[in-house]
Amino acid sequence: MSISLGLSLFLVAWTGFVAFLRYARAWLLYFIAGAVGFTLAVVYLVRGTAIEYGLESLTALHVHQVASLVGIPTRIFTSAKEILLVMIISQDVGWTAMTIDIECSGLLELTVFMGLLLFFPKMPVLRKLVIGVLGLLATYVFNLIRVMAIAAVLHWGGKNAIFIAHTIVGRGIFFVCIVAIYWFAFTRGSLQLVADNMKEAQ
Amino acid sequence: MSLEQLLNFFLNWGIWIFVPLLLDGLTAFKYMIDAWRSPVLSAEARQPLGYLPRVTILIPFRNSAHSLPRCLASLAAQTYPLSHIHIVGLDNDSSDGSGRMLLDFQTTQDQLTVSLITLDRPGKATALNAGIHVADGEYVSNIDADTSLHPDAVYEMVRAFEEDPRILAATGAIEVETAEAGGVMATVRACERMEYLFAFRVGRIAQSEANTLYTLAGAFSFFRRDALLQSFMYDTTTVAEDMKLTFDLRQKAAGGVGRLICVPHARAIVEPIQSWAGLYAQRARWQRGQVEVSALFPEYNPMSFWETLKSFSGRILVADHTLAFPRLTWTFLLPFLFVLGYSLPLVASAMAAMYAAYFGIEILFCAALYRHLRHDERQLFWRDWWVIPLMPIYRYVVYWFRFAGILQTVTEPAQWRIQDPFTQVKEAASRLLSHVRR
Repeated sequence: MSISLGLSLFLVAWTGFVAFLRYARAWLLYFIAGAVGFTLAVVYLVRGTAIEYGLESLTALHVHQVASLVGIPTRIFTSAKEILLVMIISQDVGWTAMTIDIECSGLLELTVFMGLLLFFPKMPVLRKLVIGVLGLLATYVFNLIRVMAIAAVLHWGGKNAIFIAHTIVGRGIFFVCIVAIYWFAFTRGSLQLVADNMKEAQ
Repeated sequence: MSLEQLLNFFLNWGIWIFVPLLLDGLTAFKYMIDAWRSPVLSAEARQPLGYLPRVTILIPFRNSAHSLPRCLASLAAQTYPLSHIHIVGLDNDSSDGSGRMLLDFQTTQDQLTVSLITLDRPGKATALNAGIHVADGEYVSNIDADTSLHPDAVYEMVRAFEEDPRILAATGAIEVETAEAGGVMATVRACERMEYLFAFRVGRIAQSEANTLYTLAGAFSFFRRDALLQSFMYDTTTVAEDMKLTFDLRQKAAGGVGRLICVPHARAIVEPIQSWAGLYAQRARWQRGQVEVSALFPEYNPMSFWETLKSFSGRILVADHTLAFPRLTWTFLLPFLFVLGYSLPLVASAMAAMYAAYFGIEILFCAALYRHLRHDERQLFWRDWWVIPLMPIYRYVVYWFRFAGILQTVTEPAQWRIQDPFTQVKEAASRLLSHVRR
């Protein structure tokens, strides 16, 4: 991951801009510039690097391990780069290659959550740290569950079930779980903070 | 680009923007079904009232000399017997002669009873509570000073309460006045008018049917006086005193005996939004109110996600608050996926599909709305039908304004007036410059 001079200047300017918006207490603009800027920058910088491949192969490995526990045979090829991230699922008709790419690695969701949490104002640092660690772990685990669900549908449903497995079942499960994380991190946290503030004001 | 690819992209990445839309869509669909099922009665088909109880109307105001005369004139034009109406003006320390105006109005009325209470401090909730204590009517209503009532509004309200003794409180149907404006503001105001029509003629009607009314409008609501006196009245600690009172009354009605409803033909007209900054401040305040009131009622928003989903208020909070967060980043991340290697036609088509889905939802709302407007009210719809394709954009803009409210709730103390972000940036820049110059 190399950062060009232009990109470095952009990052410095972005940091200054976000700091200024915080100083101005323009919270909406601050949050958009901070959280969105962070996410876009991280995704752009991490795309195609060892970090992305590492996350993808780790996801594939964990799914492989869990799948073997529940009796779904899978294999991982790590010797050749082009099939590094391929997990193969046994079916009646043979094997289906399932590439764990950026969509399946949860990288975007992890980055989005990190960006929102980092720039959410007025949350104590310790709370942010705890929620951050728990949230990232939970996102990773929920993503594993999602990929496992896809593998299970493919295993028992065959290749024709790929759309339903990937886009409907997998995404549906993942979405509900992620919303639960957001609720815990932002909504529940805000309600507690506001309730405390209102008690103090009385 | 195949349809499957488009669907895959749409549901895989667009889900963060699509699901709030899907919830809106399901809500619209449910509203449409409910609105279709609920009876539509013409005014002529209903029996006139045999018993005419006394009504106390509370008008809190502060420096409202520009709007108060119209509000009072609309009360003097009510078809409900004026001798049964008691108007109580609640002056929140005005300095523009609004109080004097009310007293002058009193001298011109020979049937209406008019009283004035002067308070030495601002605060709408405080003023309304003072008014409730002197209210002598069987029914108590509150009206904002910048609101005027349709001539049948009070009659329609009393009729609804008299026909159903379970009703504890009701909100009127708020409409936005047609006012001259040029350029973009004319379109924004037309969108605002359509938004209010949907909200009060579809949304709240469906909530009434399910007895889940979320907010009694601060601009015009009606109460059974006994129910009001048994509640905690208006709360002074939140900017959403109307929502807080609604939650209180809903709790009271939780046993299934009481009902909170919207009376769609009790019409009230409010002034349109004056500027973008005004719309921003209003929506940010409403959102803040929702979070504050939710924080005050943990039983409606329990500390478990699954429990939250079981309650009506909890589901609204998840849709308005929780889902607002991923929606924020994904709005920008979705077009950025082009940079990550997705084809431009795919990204553009997914975004066009998103708009088309939103537009479809508006059409669902229109179908439900049209069904629920009386023949003489349908001109309200035809006046602004041309903004329907723009409503998804308007709602998206409003989403951002509400998001500002989410952030302000945790960062800033409660205040009625909220500065828009561009003014904040301008002022911060000049502060910074003056520091540098020194």
